[in-house]
This record gives sequence, structure tokens and C-alpha cells, in this order.
Amino acid sequence: MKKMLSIIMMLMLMVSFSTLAMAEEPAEEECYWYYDVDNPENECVEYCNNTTSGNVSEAYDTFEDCEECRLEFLDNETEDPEDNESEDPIDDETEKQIEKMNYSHGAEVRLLQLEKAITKNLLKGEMAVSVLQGLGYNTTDLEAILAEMHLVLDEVQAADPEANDSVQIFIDLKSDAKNLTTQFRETIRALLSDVKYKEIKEQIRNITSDELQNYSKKVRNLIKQFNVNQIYRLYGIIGNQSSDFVNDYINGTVNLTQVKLQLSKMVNMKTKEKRMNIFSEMLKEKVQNKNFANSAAGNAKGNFSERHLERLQKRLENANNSGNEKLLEKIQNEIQNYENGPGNGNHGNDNGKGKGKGK
Amino acid sequence: MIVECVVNMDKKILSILVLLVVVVSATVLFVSFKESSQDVQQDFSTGEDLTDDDISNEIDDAFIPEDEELDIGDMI
Repeated sequence: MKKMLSIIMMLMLMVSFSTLAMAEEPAEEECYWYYDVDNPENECVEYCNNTTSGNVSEAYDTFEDCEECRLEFLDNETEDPEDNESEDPIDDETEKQIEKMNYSHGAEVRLLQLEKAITKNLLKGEMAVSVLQGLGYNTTDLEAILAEMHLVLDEVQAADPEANDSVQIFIDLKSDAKNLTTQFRETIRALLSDVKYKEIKEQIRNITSDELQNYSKKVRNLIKQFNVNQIYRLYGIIGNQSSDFVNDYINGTVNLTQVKLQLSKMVNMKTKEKRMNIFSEMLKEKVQNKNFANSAAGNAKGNFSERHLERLQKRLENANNSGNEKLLEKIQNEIQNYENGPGNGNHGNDNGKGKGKGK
Repeated sequence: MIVECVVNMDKKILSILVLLVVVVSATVLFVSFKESSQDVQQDFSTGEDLTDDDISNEIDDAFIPEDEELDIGDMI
């Protein structure tokens, strides 16, 4: 009997051991330090087991490491991103924007967005100039930059979104607007002390006007039209006949996020094979758009300098007509720089000033 | 010797032994099955199969956010 009892005990022990061995180990609590990327002024916070919320940084083992990186990030944040911008007129962002110009309304949206961005900068520039004039600064250089920016705005407004070269026009004029913005920023930076510069920056930060609000409305409506076309296009790929949801989006009953969610649901309700077909169809269009943007960007890069020179010559004529001496002189200098520049490829900072970091 | 021992055992005790062996085997089988099914699930999600996120990303890409602004830099 004793023997049997010991065998039974042994077996029971085996059962316990095997169960214990195969039981899942409880997860150890993993805690790391993070800083808030959207609000880097706030100190680092510790989160455990990936329970982070919001847009946080990468994980740091210690508070000190996290704080060090947060302060570094904060320093970089306060520097103007434009200081590091490349000389390439077609950056990744622009190429992404061009992709949408392959669809109807796409070019119209992009040109109107550019028009709005230039108008906003002109408004801020004019406000800054009037503040500086009130303080007794000489603002003739700044005024000449703004006058040229007005000419760029006229060119954007005159551009035909349906034209074959609308992408090229968008690339060229966006590049000009960016260069003039940089010129203005650097000229004003050279005029003012750090404290004054920050003071004026703060004053014009949230400037708004009826004109800008009208632009915002126009852009929003145009984007809505673009998106409606995209919904129909996706409906075609998915194989949906109903247009109820489109009407709700047009009426404003549902927003874009809800539309996207609804489309995702529609796709996810399909069979695996059908989903694969829809996905590959969407990918095919994406590749087509990327190719379109690549080739447009390649073409635009081709004779970029020559086109810039042509635009400057046209602006010179306009400046002549307007009788703005300072603008005339500025454009003449730019043309001179182009003609004398290395390989005539100076499409960056045309007023000959460097891209200093100090404010 | 083991055979002799088994032969001499009581039927009741033998049945308890068999029962225990069955319980142990069942536990082992259950746990190993559970683990392998988890592996399969993981393979499925990390494999080349289409995920909901893939679809959502493509749908996202098709649209322009209504409040999107074009950035040409700040004047000051």
C-alpha cells in the first residue's frame, strides 16, 4: 500500500510540476521615460507596459537620459526648420503634393493652397513692415521682397490648373515663394536684435483677416470636391453602387474620418480574395501617381534655372511698368546673380545673403 | 520487477494511476496546443497577409485632409 501511495504522490507531483512549467510567466512590468513630442516644454513622464498616451518620444531608461534628449529636441524645435532646407526645388513634400495633381481638381487644390500660403505670408510681411516703420527702421529691402512676392501671387492666380504644364508652374512658383519668404526672414533677422525679432514674431504669429478666412473656405470646399471624386473612385474599385454616404459627406452630416472608416468597413466585409483585388487596384493607382509625380519632378528639374531666369525677366518688365525702383533693382540684381552664378544654377537665396542660423 | 509490481497492484489503484496518466497527458497536450495556436496567430499577423491597417492606409492616402495647408515657410 505504501508503495502505491508513493507512486500516486509522485504522479501528483509530476502533474503539478508540468502544469507549473507550462504556465505562462507573468509579464514583468517594463517602465520607461518619455517626453511629449507635441509639448516638449513638459518634463519627462514615466509610463509602464506601453501605456503611453499622445505623441511621445522614444523610450528612455532613465529620467536623466530622457531630459537630456528632451532639451535637445526643444532646442531644435525653436530653430526655424527653414534654416536646414535643401536647395532642391522639389523636396519630398512637394513631390507628395504633386501626386494628387494627377486627379481632377488636384491641380486646382494645390494652386489655391499656394495662393493662400503666399497671401498669408504677404499679410504677415506687410504687418511686420508697418511695425518696423513705426519703430523707425529702413524697410525698403523688405518692401521690395514683398513687391516681388505680389508678382508671384499674380502669377499663381493667372495659372491655369487644366493646362499641361500646371505641375511645372506649381513647382516653380512654390519654389519662388519659398525663396522670397527665406529672403524676407533673413533680411528682417539682420535688421533686428534677438529680443525685438522675437517680439515682432509674437505680434504677427496669429494674424488673420477676412481675405484669409475666405481662402480657407475656398480651399476647404475645393478639397471636399476632390475628396468626393475620390470616394466615387474608391466606390468603383470596391464595387459599391450606393451614393448615400457621399451625399452625407457633401451635406456635412459625416466628416472625412467617418467616410474613411466606412470605406474601410466596406472593404473588410469583402472576401479575402476580393479584398486582395481591391488592395492591389489601389496600389496600382498609387504607383501610377508616384510615377506621374516622379516624371513631372524630373521634367521640372531639367531646365529649372532657365525657367527661373525667364520668370525674372517677365517680372522685370512688370516692375518697369509699376515704377517700383527698389523692386526693379532687386530683380536686376537677381538676374545678374543668375547670369554670373556657377552654372547659372543659383536658384536659392538670390539676394546674395547667406543662410545664417542666428536670430 | 515493475511488471510483477503492477500485477500485484489493486485494480482500484491501477485505475487511479491510469487516470492520473490521462490527466497529465491531457494537460501537456492542452498547453502545447494552446502555445502552437498562439504562434500561428502571430505568424498570421506578421506575415504577408493583408491587414486592416494596410487597407486603411491606402484609403487615407487617397484623400486630402480638409484643413491641410501648404508650407512655404514663415516670414519671421
